[in-house]
Amino acid sequence: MARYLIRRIVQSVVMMFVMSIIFFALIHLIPGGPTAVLFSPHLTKAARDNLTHVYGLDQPVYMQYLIWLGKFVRGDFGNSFVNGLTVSSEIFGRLPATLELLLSALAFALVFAILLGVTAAVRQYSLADYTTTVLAYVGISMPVFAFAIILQEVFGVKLGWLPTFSNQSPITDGFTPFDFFLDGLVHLILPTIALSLLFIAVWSRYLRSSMLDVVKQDYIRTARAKGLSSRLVFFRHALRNALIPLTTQVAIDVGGVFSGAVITETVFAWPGLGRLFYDSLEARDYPVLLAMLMISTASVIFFNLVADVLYSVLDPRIRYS
Amino acid sequence: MGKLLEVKNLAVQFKTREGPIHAVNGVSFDINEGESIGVVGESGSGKSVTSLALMRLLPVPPAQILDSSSVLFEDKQLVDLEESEMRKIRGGQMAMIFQEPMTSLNPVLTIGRQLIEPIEIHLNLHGAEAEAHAASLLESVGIPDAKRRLGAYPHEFSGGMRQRVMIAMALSCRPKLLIADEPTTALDVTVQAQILELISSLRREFGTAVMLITHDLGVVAGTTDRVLVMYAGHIAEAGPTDELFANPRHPYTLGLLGAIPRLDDDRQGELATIPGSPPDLLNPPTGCPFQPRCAFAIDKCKQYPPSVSVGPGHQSACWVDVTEPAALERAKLKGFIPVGLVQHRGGGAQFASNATE
Amino acid sequence: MDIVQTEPQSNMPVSAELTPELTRARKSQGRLIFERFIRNKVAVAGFVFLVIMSALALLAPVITHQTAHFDPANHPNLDIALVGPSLAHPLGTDALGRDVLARLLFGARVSLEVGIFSMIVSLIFGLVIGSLAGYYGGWIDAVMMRITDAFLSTPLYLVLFVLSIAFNNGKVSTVVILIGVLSWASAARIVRSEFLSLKEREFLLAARTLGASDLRLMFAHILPNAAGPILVTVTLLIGNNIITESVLSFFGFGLQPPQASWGTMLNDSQSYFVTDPLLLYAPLLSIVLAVLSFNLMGDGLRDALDPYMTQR
Repeated sequence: MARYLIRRIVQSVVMMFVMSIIFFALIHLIPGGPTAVLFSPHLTKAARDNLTHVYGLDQPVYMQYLIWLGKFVRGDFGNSFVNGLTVSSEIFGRLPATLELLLSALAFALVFAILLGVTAAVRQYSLADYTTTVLAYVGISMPVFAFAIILQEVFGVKLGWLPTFSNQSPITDGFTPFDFFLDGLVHLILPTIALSLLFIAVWSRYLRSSMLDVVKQDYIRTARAKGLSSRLVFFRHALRNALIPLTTQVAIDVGGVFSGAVITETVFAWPGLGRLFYDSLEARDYPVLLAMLMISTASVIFFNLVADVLYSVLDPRIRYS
Repeated sequence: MGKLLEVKNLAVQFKTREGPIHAVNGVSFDINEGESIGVVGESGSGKSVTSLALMRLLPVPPAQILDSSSVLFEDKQLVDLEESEMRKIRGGQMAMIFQEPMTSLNPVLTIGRQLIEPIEIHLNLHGAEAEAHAASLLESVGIPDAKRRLGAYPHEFSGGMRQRVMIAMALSCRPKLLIADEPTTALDVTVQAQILELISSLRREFGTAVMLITHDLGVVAGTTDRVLVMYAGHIAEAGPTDELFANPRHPYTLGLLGAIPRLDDDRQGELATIPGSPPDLLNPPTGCPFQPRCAFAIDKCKQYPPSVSVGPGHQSACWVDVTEPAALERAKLKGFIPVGLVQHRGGGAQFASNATE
Repeated sequence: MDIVQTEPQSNMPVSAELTPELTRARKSQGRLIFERFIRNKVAVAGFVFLVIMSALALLAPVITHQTAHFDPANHPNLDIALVGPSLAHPLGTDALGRDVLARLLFGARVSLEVGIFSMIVSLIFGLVIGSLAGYYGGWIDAVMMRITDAFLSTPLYLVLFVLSIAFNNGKVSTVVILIGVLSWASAARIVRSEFLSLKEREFLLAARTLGASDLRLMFAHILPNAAGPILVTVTLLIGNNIITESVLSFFGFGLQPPQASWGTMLNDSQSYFVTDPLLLYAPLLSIVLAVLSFNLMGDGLRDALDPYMTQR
């Protein structure tokens, strides 16, 4: 297991290295570049040259990459072109909002997916089963941003029940801590639902089918032949086995959640990393963009590894070597 | 010995898109306390379905036990017994082991956990007591170092060892009846004999009645008191094991006996097989289901034959008396090779002897 | 249970001892799959819907009376901006007074085009990479699969946004290539696993002994047998690509106005959907229905190809 892990980690590092070259090249392909977007047209040539030099943009691209890489391996992501702050501080500043949204969406999705998936499998061909199926298909077939807009239109605009932008009210004068908490909570509702729909759809279907797979297995018949109650058969023998593949699927999806978060955060003007990515893209803020691409790729790779490890922990048959 | 199980007119159907599959069609038999009975037939003959029906383990739907069926177990009607009552019988008084030891144990639970489950439910033992009982069970099925092995997972055991675990689990609550559905089919030949021997010795020790289901006549010969031969969901022939082997009366049994490869066989050429294939249970033929493949068939076979007594405790469901020379001559003309019947008449011990090895 | 429905592989020698179930199943693989698919009503509904939608998309110029001088999808008229449904404009007009129905129909052309052509791009990549990896194995497999892993671990939308800024000129063909190049990894995996399992089969060994070349083996013998799972994958891929296009266009990184696509229509509707929800719901419903149909059809195909799954 240790050897397997080390091999996988080495592979991941190599992969990250290759990806960093690709991403760096990609970002420098963007036409216009930061000089055109950022610099005021009224700057003197000298000031312009000076700034270009400060940002290191006068160097050949491969030198820029090597400089970037040298800093990167020491944990320095560089400075933002837009406001000169370190990229790390930019990212850490946005991280809490993103984590808040991600965790709430994932928890919400997990609870609902398990409830729906289990109900659908236990009461196969019942109303609950069909509802889950329909919900799952619609969830898979609906672009996240479109669902987000519908939520805004219906619950925000038409019904006026919930706020549709940002993670807190613009005016918070005289808020008690509890008011802040409540305010945060109501702001969280719609983005959470929007981001979790796809996960609920995919996971509930996944659990349903792995559940139906498991109940056909011989060991379930053995468990019944022992005289176990259907509840015990279900929870101790079936659900446990059915949750193993779901767990790994969840881990893999968590790694890739960032893409969906960018979309949801942009639509809801959520002040998180997704929004930062979108803004940096508009501003051609290379260092920030690069850092974000690297982080989200690393998250996919890392959670894939987590999925494999989880699998071997949960299923005693799997041992990596 | 009193009657333990009394099955009357058991019929099971499976609903499918194409129509009902008639898997078991009016099967009747008894099992006495402590008795060992073999059920033999090709795959699709309904032997497994019959056993699962007794345990009420068939998935309903698509399976359905017809209302006319009766299964009395210690004078309790199992066919319409409450599920909660049925659970007390399952694993407690009636236990079952299956064909596939590799997949019959839950891969993510330890052997101990799975072994202790029925002990907790039926014997109401818990904690260390239950564990001790489980360990002693493992030892009695021949697994050394039982205490430590309780913490092992199924994949750490070989097929034979897993079947031993299954047997330990099945016998954990001293059931009155053990149903063994092809318990050795998936195992190596050497292990097969060990497992059969284990079942036999535990039967003697615990006084458990055993219903041994198999497609292998050799398995039945050495280990059972009586045999039921099933074909297409019917019982073709039933009788004491020695009597049935020595004096088979149903053409299908004759075919099966001819189909056993024998080391002492001096015939050159290929193995006798039963021509044709089992009937389509979606559209079973009217009359005797074996008739399309039967060399002895006569016009009367278009009606289903009643089960008639052909010896002490020996019944056969056939219109034809296969011992009659005229019938035999007719069958020979249709290509029937009379092995085991004429040449070895009265020599049933031969079958028994080469089967137990 | 003793009764198991088995499906003989059509290209394998059929054993003489077929049970009646098997004999029935021999009808012909294709016909059986077709029959199973037909029985699946939702999958057929998806298929019918797609046929109708494709017909409408193809006939869009006729339906909307397009001429050389009149582009119905791009005929702004601010006098009738944001007007509700009427006989002349069954779905009303948008903020520039363009006919929503006409834009929807021409948008269907674009969305289907993007969905299908980017699928073809993905399929070509997936076939080449997957078949090389699965057929040759060894270091070729290792390299191909690392590349595939790299594409699987890129955050799709982020890279797509960056790439769009770099390359996108708002043309349909550019969007097609961008989406296709980034979404072939799953197809490559399927192709690889099919090739891996098929190359060990007896019929292949037979062909190899007869001296068939690698290319011939791959494309004449293995590929037809892998067609089913690949077909399922690409059907689902079309739906995904339609979604991707809409996301790109909605955020302004895909097709550019005044080009009518469902994604650009959603983008256009952003500022007006409070007063004019039809501007939002018309393209949205089109996307959902189209993608849903592809998904239902794909799943229906999968079930029809794999009888064990349908018995659930």
